[in-house]
Amino acid sequence: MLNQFITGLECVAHVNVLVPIFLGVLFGMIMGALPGLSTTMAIALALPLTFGMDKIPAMALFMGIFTGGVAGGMVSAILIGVPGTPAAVATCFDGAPMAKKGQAAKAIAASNWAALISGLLGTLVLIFLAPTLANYALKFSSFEYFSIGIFSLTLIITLAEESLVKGLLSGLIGVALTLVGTAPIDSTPRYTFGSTSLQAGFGTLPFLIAIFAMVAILDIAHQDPKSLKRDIGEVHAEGGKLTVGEMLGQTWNLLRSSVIGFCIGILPGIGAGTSNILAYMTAKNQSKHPEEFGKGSLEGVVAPQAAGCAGTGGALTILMTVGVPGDAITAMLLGGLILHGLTPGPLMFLTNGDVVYSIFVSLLVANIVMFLLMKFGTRLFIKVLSVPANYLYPIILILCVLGAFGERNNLFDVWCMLGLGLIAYFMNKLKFPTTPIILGFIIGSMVETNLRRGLMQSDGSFLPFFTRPLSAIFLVVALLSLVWSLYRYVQKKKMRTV
Amino acid sequence: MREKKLDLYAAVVIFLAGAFIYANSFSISSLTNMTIGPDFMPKLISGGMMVLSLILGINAARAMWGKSPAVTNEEDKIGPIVSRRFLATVLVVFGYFLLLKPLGYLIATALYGFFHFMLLTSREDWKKKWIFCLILAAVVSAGTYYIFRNGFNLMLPEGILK
Repeated sequence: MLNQFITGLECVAHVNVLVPIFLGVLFGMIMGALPGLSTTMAIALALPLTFGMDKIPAMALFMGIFTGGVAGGMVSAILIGVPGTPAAVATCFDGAPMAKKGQAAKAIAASNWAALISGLLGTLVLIFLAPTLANYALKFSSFEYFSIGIFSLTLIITLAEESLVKGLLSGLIGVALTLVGTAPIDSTPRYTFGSTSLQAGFGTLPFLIAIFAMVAILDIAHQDPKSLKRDIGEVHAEGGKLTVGEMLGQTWNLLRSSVIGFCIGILPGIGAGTSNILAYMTAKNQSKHPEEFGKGSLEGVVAPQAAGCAGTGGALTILMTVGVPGDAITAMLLGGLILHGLTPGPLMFLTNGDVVYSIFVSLLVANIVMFLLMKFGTRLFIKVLSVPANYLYPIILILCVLGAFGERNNLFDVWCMLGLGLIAYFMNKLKFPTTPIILGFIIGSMVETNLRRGLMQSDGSFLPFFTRPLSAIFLVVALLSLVWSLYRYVQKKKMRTV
Repeated sequence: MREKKLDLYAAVVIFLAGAFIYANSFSISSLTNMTIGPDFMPKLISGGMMVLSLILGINAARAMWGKSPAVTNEEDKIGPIVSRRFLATVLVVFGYFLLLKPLGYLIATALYGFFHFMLLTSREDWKKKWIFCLILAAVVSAGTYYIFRNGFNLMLPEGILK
C-alpha cells in the first residue's frame, strides 16, 4: 500500500495535476457557495472540460470540486444565513447568529479548521480502509453484485422524502430509462424503434446534466427577473478572532462529528444532508451549554462542518471499493469515472492502482487547498454571492450543451438532454424525489447485468443468490432495510396525521 | 387540492408509459436461450410502474373526493409549473438546439445567449442592458468555442461558417 501511495504522490506532484485540483476546489467552492447551485451540478458542468484530459488530472479536478463544493456551502450559510448546499444546512443554525453578533470571521475560521481536519481525517480513513475492503470485495461474483444492487435499490425508500410511492416510482423511471438501447449480455435491441441513435441508449452524461442542470435552468424561469440580481445587502466577513485554545476545546466535538460524518457517508442513500444535522443534534445533546445552540455557539458551527467534510471520505469508500454510488454526488463521480474508462470497484485497485491512489492523494491536497482558499479568499466568495443569476444560468446551459454533445459528438444527446430535463422538471415540480431516478439509472443496469450473468453461471438456478453467504447477507440486509424504512415511513405518516 | 389533481395526472401518464413499455416488451426477441431474457426487466419495471401509479392515482382520487384525511394547506404548497417565461425559456432552448446544426455553434450560441440573458433581465433594464447582453453572449460563445475546439479537440458544429 505504501508503494502505491508513493506512486500516487508522484503522480499528483505535477503542475498538470495540481492546477486542476486548485481550479476544481475554487470552482466547487463557488458553486457550493451559491445557493441554488450544487456540487453535483458543478461536477456535471466540469465533465466536458475533462474530455481532452488524462485520467489522473481529470480525477484530480473531480476531487477538487467534491471537496470544495461540500466546504463552500458554509460561506453563504454563515454570511447570509442561506445554506449553499444541503451539507451546510446546520451550519446556518449557529453560523448566521455568530455573523449577526459581529463574529463572522471567527465562525468562518472555526468552520474552515473543522473542514480541514475532518476532511483530512476522512481521507486518511479512506486510504487505510479502502484497500482492505477492496481485497474483500474481490471475492464478489455476479451473485453478490446483484444482491448489493438490490440492497442499494431498497435505499430508494429512505430517499423518498415525502411520498413512498413517488420515491419508488422515481426509482423505477430511472431503471426504465436504462431499458432503451441494447440489452446487457446478449445485446438484443430494446425500445430503439429502428433508430440507430437509440441503440447505445441514453448517455450517462446527458442524463445527469438533464437531472441537475436543466431542471435548475427551467426552474429559474419562474422567478421574477428583479430577484435574480441577488441583492444580498451589506455582508461583513470581519469580526471576532478564533484563538488556539478555543479550537483545541473543540477537539472532541470535531472528532465525534467526523466519525458521524464518515459513517453516514459510507451508508448509501443518506449523505451529508443528514449527517450535518445529526452531528449538530449530537453536539447539542452532549454540550455543557446546550442553551447557547442557535444563538451563535462555536460547537454548533464546528459539528456540522466536520460531519459534512468527513463524509466525502466515507462516500468515496463505498464508491471506490464496491462501485456503488451512495448519493447524487457520488453517482455523478461514477459517471465521471466511467467517462474516462474507469470502472470503480475492487478490480480498479489492481488494474488502475496509480489512478486510485492519485485520487486519494488529490483528495488530501484538495483539503489543504480548500483551507487556504477559504482563509485568503473570503472576499472573493462574498463577491461571488452577488453574481446575478440571469447571466449565470444561460452560461450554465451552454456548458451543458457542450457536455452532452461532447460525450459522443452527437447532437441527438443534446436533444435527449432537453427531453429528459423536461421530464425531470415536471417530476421535480410534482415532488417526485430526484436522487432515486439517478440511483435507478445507475444501479438498474448493474442489477440486470449481474442477474443475467449469475443465472448463466448457475445454469438458470436462482439458488446461489440465496446460498452464497455474502449474497444472502446483502439480500437479508436489503429486506431488513426495506422493512425498517417502511416501518419508519408508516410511523412518520401516522405522526403527521395526528 | 391542486397537488392531488396533478398527482392524478402524473399517475395516468406513468400508467400509460408503463403499459407502453409492457406492451412493447412482447416484441423483444431474445437472441439467446436463457432463463431470463431481455424482456424480463421491461416486464418487471413496467409492472411496477403500473401498480404504483394505480396506488398514486387512487390515493390522489381519495384525497380529492374526501375519503381520506383532508389535505392541509401546508401539504398543498406547489409552485407554478408552466408560466409564460417558462414557455419562452423552453422555446429559446428548443430554437437553440434546432439552429445548432444549420447555423453552427458560434452563431447559434451567441443568439441563444443574447435571448436568454434578455429573458431573465427585467423589462425596465432592457434598454440599459441589451448591448451588454449582446457582447457577453458573443464573448461566451467565442470563448467556449475556442476552449473546447482547441483545448479539448471537440468537433463542434460549424454550420454556415464551414
